[in-house]
Amino acid sequence: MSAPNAYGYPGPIWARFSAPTHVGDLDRPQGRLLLVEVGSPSAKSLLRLQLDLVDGGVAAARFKAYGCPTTIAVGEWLAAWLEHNTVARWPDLHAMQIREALEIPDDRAHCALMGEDAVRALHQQVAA
Amino acid sequence: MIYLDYAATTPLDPRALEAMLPWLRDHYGNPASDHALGREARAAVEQARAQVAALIGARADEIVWTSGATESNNLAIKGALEFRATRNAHIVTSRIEHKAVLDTCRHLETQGVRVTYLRPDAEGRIGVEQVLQALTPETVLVSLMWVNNEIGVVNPVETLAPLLRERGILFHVDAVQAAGKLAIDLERTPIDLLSVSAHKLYGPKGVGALFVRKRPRARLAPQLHGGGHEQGMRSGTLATHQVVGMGAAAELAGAAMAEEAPRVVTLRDRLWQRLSKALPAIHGNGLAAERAPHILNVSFEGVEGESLRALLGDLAISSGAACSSATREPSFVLRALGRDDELAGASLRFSLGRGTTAEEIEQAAAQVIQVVHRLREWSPGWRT
Repeated sequence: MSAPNAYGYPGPIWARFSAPTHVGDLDRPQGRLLLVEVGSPSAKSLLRLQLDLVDGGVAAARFKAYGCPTTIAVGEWLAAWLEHNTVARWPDLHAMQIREALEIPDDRAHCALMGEDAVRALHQQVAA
Repeated sequence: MIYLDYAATTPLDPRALEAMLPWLRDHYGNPASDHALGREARAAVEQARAQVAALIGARADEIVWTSGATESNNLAIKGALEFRATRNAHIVTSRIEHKAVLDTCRHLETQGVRVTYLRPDAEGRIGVEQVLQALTPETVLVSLMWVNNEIGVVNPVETLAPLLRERGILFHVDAVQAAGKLAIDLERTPIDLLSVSAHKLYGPKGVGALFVRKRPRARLAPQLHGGGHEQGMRSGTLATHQVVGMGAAAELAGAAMAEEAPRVVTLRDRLWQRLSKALPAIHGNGLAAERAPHILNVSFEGVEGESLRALLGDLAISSGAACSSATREPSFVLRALGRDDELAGASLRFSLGRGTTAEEIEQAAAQVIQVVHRLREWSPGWRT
């Protein structure tokens, strides 16, 4: 199903929101399963990330999200980013990078912060 | 694109457009002029006045042209209060009125008028007893909408009108969503002031009318001063083409109503049937009340409103705060129905009209069902 971008969302947000490829759950992880859930209570949004961690790398990442299109796009972008970046690089990810990658406007900056929070929480789990 | 936002506006009926064009091209006389060009324009204006009057069971000389329903509501409420002097005066209205009524009342509060804003019941209605109990010896005006623009619920204005007449209280009704959809007979229903808009009934934008009863006479202080047009109630040269378009649209709407209303009801009910059968945890708002034929408002649990709207870009529909989408305020009427802000935001108003087909309803239902399923699947909190 492809709906038109009738409300003029930035292209990178729309592309990931309208056709995400990483939505779902990791039912049979090959390695260690990491799970984190972060939310933005004021925006009533929720982002859950699941990672299959194999030999220090991410074999697969999946997300689920409730919230505005930007929240869902952040989930999709993060899942793809985590699959292509080693654990050692996770602390380098900041909200501004997410904002730039997705062209997130100022009034949705909290969605990018939520993404940064999610990756930090994942990193803490790995380090623990 | 499937257009299901007929409560926001309607396309101009081609026959209304045809009626308008001569008055934009060749017949440019001022209807207030005495020469031949003016007289022919005046005749067209008066014919249109009769056409609008016929739609609502009024006399032609009870129709005052305005720029639209916002002006009609302003003229009715401010004009009535100003004529009577505002000191100690009291108005009864409701919290679910259009902004053109609410903001007008709020303005009058700054001038010393007291206003009671009634809360709707659990179906979104304002009750007769509720209105009567709110009256005080100082109440000079009651203003209520005939049909709520968000959920389509019909207020009991026909029952209220004689009761307010007995008490000598002016009754203004915003009938924007009722005119051309429900039978209105002001000869039998003693409403004093009634607002209508052309573009909600397949006429042009930028023109509306206010019914001002002659017997007993509803007196208004003008809000636009000038040449004394419209019996001194609304000065300004009339836009003949607009007025003619509204007249033609009113006549067409009156002629089509008996056939169109049941057709639209069938489609509206079909849409609800499709949605409610396929989707758990959805709420039809105001379904238990009497409703206008053309509006269905549905709240969807487990989806976020903005994402719902965004994925339905093929549908022209109103979401969440329907008519207050410019300010994104939570809908008062939906909250009154027990929907919290989140659920009110995840609500869609489908409003059907003359161009709506059964195929469109099927396609729209299929799209909504697919998108709601999809967003629920994506949601970490949704129980499957």
